[in-house]
Amino acid sequence: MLRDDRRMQEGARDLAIAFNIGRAEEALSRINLGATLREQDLRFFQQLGNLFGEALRGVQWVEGTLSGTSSPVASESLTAFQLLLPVLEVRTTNESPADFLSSLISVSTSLVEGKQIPDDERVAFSTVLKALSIAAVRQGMDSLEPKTTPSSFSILPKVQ
Amino acid sequence: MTTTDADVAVKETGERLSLWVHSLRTELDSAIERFDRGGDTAASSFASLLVEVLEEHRAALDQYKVASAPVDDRLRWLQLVGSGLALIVFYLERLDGAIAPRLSPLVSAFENLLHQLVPGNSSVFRQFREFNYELNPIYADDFRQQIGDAVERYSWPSLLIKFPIGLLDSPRNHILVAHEIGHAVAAANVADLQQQALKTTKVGPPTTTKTIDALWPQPIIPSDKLIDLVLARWVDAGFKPLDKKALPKTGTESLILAQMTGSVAKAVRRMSESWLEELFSDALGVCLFGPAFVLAFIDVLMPVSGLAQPDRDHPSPAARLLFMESLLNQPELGDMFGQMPPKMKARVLGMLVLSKSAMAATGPSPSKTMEMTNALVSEVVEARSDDVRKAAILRAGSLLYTSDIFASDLKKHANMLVEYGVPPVSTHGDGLISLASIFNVAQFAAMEQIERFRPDKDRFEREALLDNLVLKAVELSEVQRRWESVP
Repeated sequence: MLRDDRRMQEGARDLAIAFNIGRAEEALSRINLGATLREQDLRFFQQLGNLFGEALRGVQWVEGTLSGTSSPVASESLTAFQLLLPVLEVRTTNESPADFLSSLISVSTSLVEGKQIPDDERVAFSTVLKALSIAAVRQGMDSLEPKTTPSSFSILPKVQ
Repeated sequence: MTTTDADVAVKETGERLSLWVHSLRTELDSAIERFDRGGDTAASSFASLLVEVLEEHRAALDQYKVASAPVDDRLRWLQLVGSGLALIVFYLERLDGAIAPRLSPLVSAFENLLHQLVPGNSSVFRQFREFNYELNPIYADDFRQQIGDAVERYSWPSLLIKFPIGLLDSPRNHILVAHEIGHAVAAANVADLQQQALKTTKVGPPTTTKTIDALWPQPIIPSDKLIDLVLARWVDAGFKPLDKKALPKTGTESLILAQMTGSVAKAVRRMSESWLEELFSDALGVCLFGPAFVLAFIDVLMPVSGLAQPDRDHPSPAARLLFMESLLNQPELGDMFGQMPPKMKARVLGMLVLSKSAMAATGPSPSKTMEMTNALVSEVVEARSDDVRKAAILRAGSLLYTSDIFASDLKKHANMLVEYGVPPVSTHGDGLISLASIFNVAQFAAMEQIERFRPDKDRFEREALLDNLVLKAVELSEVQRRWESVP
C-alpha cells in the first residue's frame, strides 16, 4: 500500500485543528451559560487566532498576485487560506475576505485577553467555528485514507 | 431536564470512546516499555508524545461528557475525539517494526551519520516491502493545536526513515538512505525555523541566540506566469476565458478566481519546495558518499523510471542525475571524474548522455496545464539550484567525500577486498573507517572487478557474498566507534 505522506500530514494537521476548534466551541458554550473562560481555555483561542492570521496572509498574497505582485509565500498561509475557504464562501456579511478574517482574529484576540464579546458576535463566531470544524474533519479524514500514490519524500518518482 | 433517546445514544458514544482511550493508553505504555528495553530512544520519545496527546483527548472527552449543549453539537465534539484517536492509531502504526539501532549495525551507522549532521536528533528506522526509500518528518506544529506548549518537551522534527526489504535489500542500495538523511537535514531546518518564528511572536526578553537561516532562499513564483496557469485552469474548468488585464475584482467570479489562484499557487509552491528538497537530498548524498551514491541512484532508479518524467514531488531522474553531475564537478569535491576507474566512469557518463538526450526529446505532457505547471516549477527551481548546491556542500562540512579520499580508499582497500575478501577495516593506529569509504570500495568491487572476486561463484552469489562482507565491515566499524566512544 503506497501513501501520499505529505497529504496525510496536512490531513493530520486538519484533524488537530478540528480538535482545537471543538475545545474552543465547548468553552464558548460555557460562556453562553454565564461562565467565564478558564486559564487552560485561552490557548484554544490563541491557536485559532494564529490560524486566522495565517489565512489572512494567504488571502493578501493571492490578492497581491492577482494584481501582478510577485512575492514569497509560505505554504502554511496557502493551506490555511484553503481551509478557511468554505467559511469565506458561506459568510453572511458583505465584508471582503481579508476584512472577514481580520474580524475573526479580533474576536479570538479579545477572548484570549478576557474581554467581553457581544452576544451576537459570539454566536456568529460559534457558527464560523462549527463550519470550520466540519470542513477540517472532512478534509482531515479524507487525507488519512491511503491512496495509491507514492510518498512525497520517497526517493522514487511516479508517472504524473 | 428530560433525557431523550439521542441523549442516551450520545452518552453511550462517550462511554465507548472512554474504553478506546483506556485501550490505547495500555498499548502505548507497552510500546514505550518495549522501545526503552531495546534502546530505541526515537521510538520511545514519539510514543510518549502520543501518550500526551491521548491524555489531552481524555481531558476533552471528560469535558464533553458533562457539557450542556445541544445533543448534535455534543456528538460532533465526541466525534472530534474519535477522529483524534484514529489519528493516534495512524501515528502508532509508523512505529510498528521499528529497528533499534543497537540491534542493527547498518541502522546504527546511519543514525550516527544523522547525529553528525543534525546533532541531538534521532530517527525511527524500519524496513518495508516497497520499491522505495522514504522519510516521514513530523513537526511540533502538527501537535501544537492539541497539546499547546507541551510540544517543547520533545526534540523536533520527529523522523521516520524507511528502507526496503526483499529485492533492494543490499547495503550498496541502502546508500540511498543518505538521500533520506538529506531530507532529515531539511526537515530539521524547517523545525528550527518554525521554532524561531514562534519565538519572535512571543513577548519576552530579547535573546542572543544566533539567527537560523533557511537552507536556501524561499522560491518566488513569477505572478505573471502563475496567472497564465490559473487562467488556463479556469478554461479547463469550463468557465468563459477571462481577460488577463481585467480580472474580476468583486462577486462570485472573483472569489472563485482567488480560490483557484490559491489552489494553483499552493500546488506550484509545494512542487517547487519538493523538487528543491529532492535536489538538496541528492546533493547531500553525493557530498557524503561521492560516486557510490550516484551509482546506487543509477542502479535503483534507472531500471524503473522514465528518464525525463517528473512528478509533483520529484524532478525527472534525468534532471536529478544532471544535477548530481554538477555537484561532482564542484571544486570542493576535487577531480572526481578524473579519479573514477574506467567502468564506473563509463556507467556514470553513459547515463548522463542518455539523460541529456531524454531531456532534449521530452514529449508533450498529458495536458497543457500540466506542461505549464512543470515548466513553471522548473523555472522556479532553476533559479535556486546554485543555492541548493552550496547548501549541500556547506551542510556536509567535514564529512565531504572528496576525490582525494576516494582515490586513497581505492588504493588502500580495493585490492584486499577483491583478491582476499577482506573488507575495508581499520588497522591498528588508523582512525575509524567511514561508511563512505566502505561503500565506495564496495561499489568499486561490484562495478569494476566483480569477475576477479570469488571467480568460483556466479554473479548472483558473488554480489551476495560481497554484500555480506560490506555488512561485516560496517559492523566492525560500528563496534569500534561505539567502543571508542565509551569514556
